[in-house]
Amino acid sequence: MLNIALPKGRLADKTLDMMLRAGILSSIEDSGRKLVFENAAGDIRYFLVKPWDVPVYVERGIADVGVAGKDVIDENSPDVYELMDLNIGKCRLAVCAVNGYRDDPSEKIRVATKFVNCAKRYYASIGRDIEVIKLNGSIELAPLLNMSDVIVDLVETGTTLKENNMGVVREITKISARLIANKASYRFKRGEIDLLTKKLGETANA
Amino acid sequence: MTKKSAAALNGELKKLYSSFGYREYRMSGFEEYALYMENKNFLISDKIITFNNLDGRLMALKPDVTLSIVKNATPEKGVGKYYYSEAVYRPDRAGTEFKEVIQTGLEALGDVDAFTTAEAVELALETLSATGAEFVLALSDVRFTEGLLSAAARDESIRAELKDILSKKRAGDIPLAAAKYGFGADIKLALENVIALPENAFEALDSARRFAFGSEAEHAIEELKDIVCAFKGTRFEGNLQIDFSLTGNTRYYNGVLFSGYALGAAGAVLKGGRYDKLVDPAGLAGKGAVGFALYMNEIEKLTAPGSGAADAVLLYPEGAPLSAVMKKAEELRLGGLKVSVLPEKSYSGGREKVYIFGEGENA
Repeated sequence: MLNIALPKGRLADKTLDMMLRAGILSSIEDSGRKLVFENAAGDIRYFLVKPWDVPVYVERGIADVGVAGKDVIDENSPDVYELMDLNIGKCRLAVCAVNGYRDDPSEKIRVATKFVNCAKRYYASIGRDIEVIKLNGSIELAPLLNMSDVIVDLVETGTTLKENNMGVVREITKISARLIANKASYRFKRGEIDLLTKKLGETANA
Repeated sequence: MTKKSAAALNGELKKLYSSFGYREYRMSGFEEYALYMENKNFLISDKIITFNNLDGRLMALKPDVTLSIVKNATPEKGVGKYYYSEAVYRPDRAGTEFKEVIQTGLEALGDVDAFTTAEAVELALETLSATGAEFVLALSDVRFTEGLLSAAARDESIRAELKDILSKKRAGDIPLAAAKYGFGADIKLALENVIALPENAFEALDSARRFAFGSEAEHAIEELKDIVCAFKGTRFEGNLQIDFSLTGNTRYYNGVLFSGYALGAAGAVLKGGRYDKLVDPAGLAGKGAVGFALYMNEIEKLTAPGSGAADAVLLYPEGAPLSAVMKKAEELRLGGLKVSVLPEKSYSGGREKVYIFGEGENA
């Protein structure tokens, strides 16, 4: 039995659809309020958890494998294997600001973000001193209300930024969903994990 | 899943290590802070719990066992073989709190050769077997991984990025890294193959041999092959895997690396390898060292849940005759149960079987 942690929300729909096309699942149950599902053959159990919790379930071995965004992986640095880029959930992690923003190199930059570690790493790599303001949502509001100079956030289409007179200043990294695996499970369930990876890989590249 | 207690396992391991001629090494609870500061490159973290002793010396709650053994017990000639069971104090993974880690392990120091290394691997296999859990010992060698990384890039930061790709098996990032850093098709092919070596150790070594960059990497493959061959036809043959995602701290390790996994534990429960640099930093004295540690905290998690708790509870009403209650409890214990005797009025429920004095089993 392979235990798979999937992120709730849009990414879950895309991943489940991918698993269906790959023949890993034969049907998808209507989730409703149910959180744990088993496939008809009884060899795969998957459960839906908050996207930020997927690496936690996998690192602790509750799930053998999981699907997590590269943003969540980079921010939390879980001790897991990243077996495959699923090429879904694509977006960018970027520095964004109100249009017309000019960086003042003599000042510490105030950065509002949910991705504190990623922001710190990025600015350390370019030698800039920053003040991090940790927010959990509506990050775009921070520079609009002059709480921060810039934000570090995920950008998919850029529509929200445009609607708020903002734009991307600098792309930090490209983001997509990854298949991650627990390090011990990889050793004890290698055959099952390799088969899952192969099937998902064929579907991702189809 | 093992049902052995950590204490029982520890006792078994002491007997095992003694039977291989290893002597027990006992450390004092504290060491001088200077020892760790002089060797901080060899420590997992430089964060150490310190305090001033009554004579003014700055002391540390030991963050590591190996340093102390190397300092005090490396022999002038021959091989010193020691085992230990000690608590060390290190920051947790989040780096927010110190935690106590109970380690049981061994070190062989001095004129260490291929046999001593293979013997350490054998003892690592025996140690994992003693846990009673299904297990795997993954083998690697830093000479192989460093050969590949050095062939891929000269720049330290690029090598660090490639090492992360290797250690996390980030297969999806190899094409991106190849394009970004412009390394050749041979390196790309090597990374892709080395990340996904076959499960069978012999097949894995045959596959990896094609990607050995430099003579050191070739030696590494030969030494790993000798080790794997040494266990061919033994009960441990199926427990060995080759996995070069174990890249190790190269300031510490210089050869074979191993990492043990037990079914039911989320991460490695045993880690070790060859660390000659600690005993012979300049590499002039021909001294070497090999050792490993079993993380007892992780092993304790394998113990069946609630195995320390009572199987049954015997409840006695107020005024029940003392000797009769004791006799009833003894009867139940003789039947193989772990029995806790409690006053009926204060019992608030639990998962165990409930016996009420004067009646039979209640639940």
